Amino acid sequence: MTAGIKTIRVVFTILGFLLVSMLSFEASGANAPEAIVNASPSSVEISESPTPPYGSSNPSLKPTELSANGTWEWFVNRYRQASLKVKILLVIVIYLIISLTLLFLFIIINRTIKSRERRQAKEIKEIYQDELTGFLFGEDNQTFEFTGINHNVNREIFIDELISLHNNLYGEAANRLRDLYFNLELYKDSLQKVSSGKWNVKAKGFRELAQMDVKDANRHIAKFINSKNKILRMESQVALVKLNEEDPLGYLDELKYKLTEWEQINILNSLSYHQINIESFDRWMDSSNDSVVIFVTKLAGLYKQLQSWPRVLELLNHKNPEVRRAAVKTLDMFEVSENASLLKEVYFKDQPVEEKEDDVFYNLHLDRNRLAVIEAMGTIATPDDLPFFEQVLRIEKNFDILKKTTAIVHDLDPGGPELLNRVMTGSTDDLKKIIENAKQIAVQ
Amino acid sequence: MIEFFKVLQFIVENGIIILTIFIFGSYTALAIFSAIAMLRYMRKNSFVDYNVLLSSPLAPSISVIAPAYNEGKTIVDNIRSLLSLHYNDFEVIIINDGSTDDSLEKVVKAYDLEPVKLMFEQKLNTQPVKAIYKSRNKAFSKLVVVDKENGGKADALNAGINLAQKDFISAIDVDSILVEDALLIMAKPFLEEDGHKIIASGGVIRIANSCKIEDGRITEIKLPKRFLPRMQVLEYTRAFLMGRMAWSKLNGLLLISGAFGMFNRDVVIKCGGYNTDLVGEDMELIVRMRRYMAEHNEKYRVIYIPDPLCWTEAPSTLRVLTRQRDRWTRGTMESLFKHFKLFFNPRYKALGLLGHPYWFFLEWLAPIIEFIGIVYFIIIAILGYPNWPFFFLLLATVFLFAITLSFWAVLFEELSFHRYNKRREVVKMLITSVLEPIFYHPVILFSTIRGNFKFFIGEKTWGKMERQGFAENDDQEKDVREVEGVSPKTLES
Repeated sequence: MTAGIKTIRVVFTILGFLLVSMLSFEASGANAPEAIVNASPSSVEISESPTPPYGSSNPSLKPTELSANGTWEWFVNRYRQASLKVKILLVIVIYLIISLTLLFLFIIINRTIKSRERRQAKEIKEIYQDELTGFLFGEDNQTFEFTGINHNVNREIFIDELISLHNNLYGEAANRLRDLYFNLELYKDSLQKVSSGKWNVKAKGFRELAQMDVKDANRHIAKFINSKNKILRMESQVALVKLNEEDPLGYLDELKYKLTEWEQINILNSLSYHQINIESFDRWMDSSNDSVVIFVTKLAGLYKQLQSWPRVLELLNHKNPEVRRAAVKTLDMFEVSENASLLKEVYFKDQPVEEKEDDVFYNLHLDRNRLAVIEAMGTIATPDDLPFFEQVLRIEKNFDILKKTTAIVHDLDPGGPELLNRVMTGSTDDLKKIIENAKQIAVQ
Repeated sequence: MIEFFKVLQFIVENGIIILTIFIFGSYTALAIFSAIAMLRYMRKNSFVDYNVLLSSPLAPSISVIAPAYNEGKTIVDNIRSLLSLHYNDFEVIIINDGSTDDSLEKVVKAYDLEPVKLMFEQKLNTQPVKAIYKSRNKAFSKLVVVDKENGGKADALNAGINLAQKDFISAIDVDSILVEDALLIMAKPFLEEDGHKIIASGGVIRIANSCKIEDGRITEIKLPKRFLPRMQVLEYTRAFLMGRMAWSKLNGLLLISGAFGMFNRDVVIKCGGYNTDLVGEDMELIVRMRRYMAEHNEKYRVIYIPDPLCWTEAPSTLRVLTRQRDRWTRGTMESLFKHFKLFFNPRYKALGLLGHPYWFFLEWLAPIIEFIGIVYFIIIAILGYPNWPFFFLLLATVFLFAITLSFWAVLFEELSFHRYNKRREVVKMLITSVLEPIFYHPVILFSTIRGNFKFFIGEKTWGKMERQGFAENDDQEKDVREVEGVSPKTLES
């Protein structure tokens, strides 16, 4: 610390000396003194000729010989007489010196204050952790008092600890914490956060209200499902899943934005964490928001909702290839053999489109769809499907699909290995290698 | 003659002032953008629970690709560290790029590997693959080791991409230390696609010299004790927290560090993978991917994540440092000249109008102008025409501005990730900020000029990167080893 201050002081002293020296040079005839002495600003411009050799300084202007009282006046005079470019640089230098000083002070002071705040927060946190544990597991929790809870900062730390503890507890202990949250009227703090102008404070309020199951907050939070702010949008959705017991995903009807994969993961996590069961996802399968259709189709598969099977089959004809893929993958999870004929249709429908070759991702989607079909067929295929696989092996160009198909066919008995031998005759070198590889892997 | 020098002096001095103001303005604007982006990121990130990705059946899968060349002394530990990353569905593909030491034997023994018949499509051309290994032990089922003929880092990465089976690919330096949640954090931007395709994401690279390391993990963060690595800490902090953050916000980011990045596999393959003829393959790939997306009228973004996810060892000798920087310079020039079509081309939007010109003028041209300025000043001084006041003022301005930027970087670090806990370390960083322009910058300038020279004479070697090796539990540096083909960790923002 001391070393730092010393170094800065030395640097500033040197810089100060340099500045004064420079002005001395600049004013001491270096730039045609006779032109500068009576110069107006415009004439200063003209006098901007390069410096004659060696800056023949006048001894009478040396800064070391100036009296203390005259220093400022001397400085101002020299500044007026300096050329424009020197003035510009001088202003920048002074600005930078001030900035550096302020920055230095700010960094050091900020570090000191932040360290103190962190230490205090840690101490308070530990106190509340002990007190909450005492409240939960002590004998008398009716008259329990929490230290300094009326102080704003402390209260915020207390809420954080309460929420965090509640998140890790179940049953009676969790209920007692929830009662405490209401008895201390902490829900008012959370509701106040929802009304804040700052999005991060709002989002924190959503989390607290959802965690503590404040049902009344539902209507306040529902307003944000179509917020432009992504975090508010996601936090409001996650909160609504928890708070809206009767229709946890009801808000999907109103959702205008794309449901990103990150949002989908968080919503699914919320559903799983709170063990929320939804009887059917069918109602959203004809949503105009494709991301919603994809999400609920995935959920139907994950929750093994076989009753949605007919609706999922309909989605195989959806115009969006990503929806079709989600439907194929869900059908794969259902493992219903009746899917085979429709899956095969999707395979032939989703062949690469030449006109879309300039579209970076369109044919990639179709490739993935065909691969998903083959994978789904892998779980339900019988020797009766060999003609389909033969067609695939003869027309398919995609390496991954050929590799997958070969592996499936090899395991289909009877007829699979024979089909591979038949296809190998007259096939491309690549396909021959793939088939050979499938055979070798089987031997291993 | 005298008149000629006066005119020349007038032009140069005024030109320098304009250039100085332009450079200061650019850096100040970047710092402001970075501050805004950083503030928003920190707030946004406080709501993120990355653990939801760990158990989610909807989480994407990731192939981690790590090329290795003669890493025998540390490769077993490095692989263990990679396998223990927090992520559910991922594979680790180690590419032994024709090592001449006992790397492969050690890995085969340590992980109980056996050769497997694994068919893969040669989507990208590479040197021949000799064998592919997988472990007999199910605990290491995520590990795939590829033994191939030597072809350099880019070639090894391409071989890994050919083999990668997962949704995204992550390219890393095998000797870098990743924080456990690195994949979770890096994958998130890809899941937030909302109209714009995310084609790549990259994180901050931090310097691990003097840090305490146990079992391949950083357990205590310390500021490097040695002078050169400490200078680089400051330099990295400035470049990553103040430069790339802003460029990401402006969608003009041209570089994801080779030490750790994540990519959309399909776009990488469609672009032809890493270019094996270049020394700056990591930057060139990003520029090519961006160019490809723009030329196909696809909306896209390259995302930068300011979290300190990857720690690496910085050169601690002048010889290695200058060699590294001259290689980085050549890498930058390769990308800039190879894709010169982007220069002020409105078709490429931020990439053409901001990113490429910025790198051209401020990262490539500025050091050359600085060098010419020094040569010019020496000539003028010898001939007896120096404008001393102007010279000293300009020097003071540049010097003070450099320190101010570094101070801002220290402040950013303080207000964001706050990785150096001791006040003494912050003060050391501030002192380093003052010393850097005097002692460190000339070295970097020299390396840059040397890199330019080598580029123009057509030298394309990597040179050897001498590493001290991370020491466990203390900062005693042991195990000096010679490594060829490690990543160019380009710092330019």
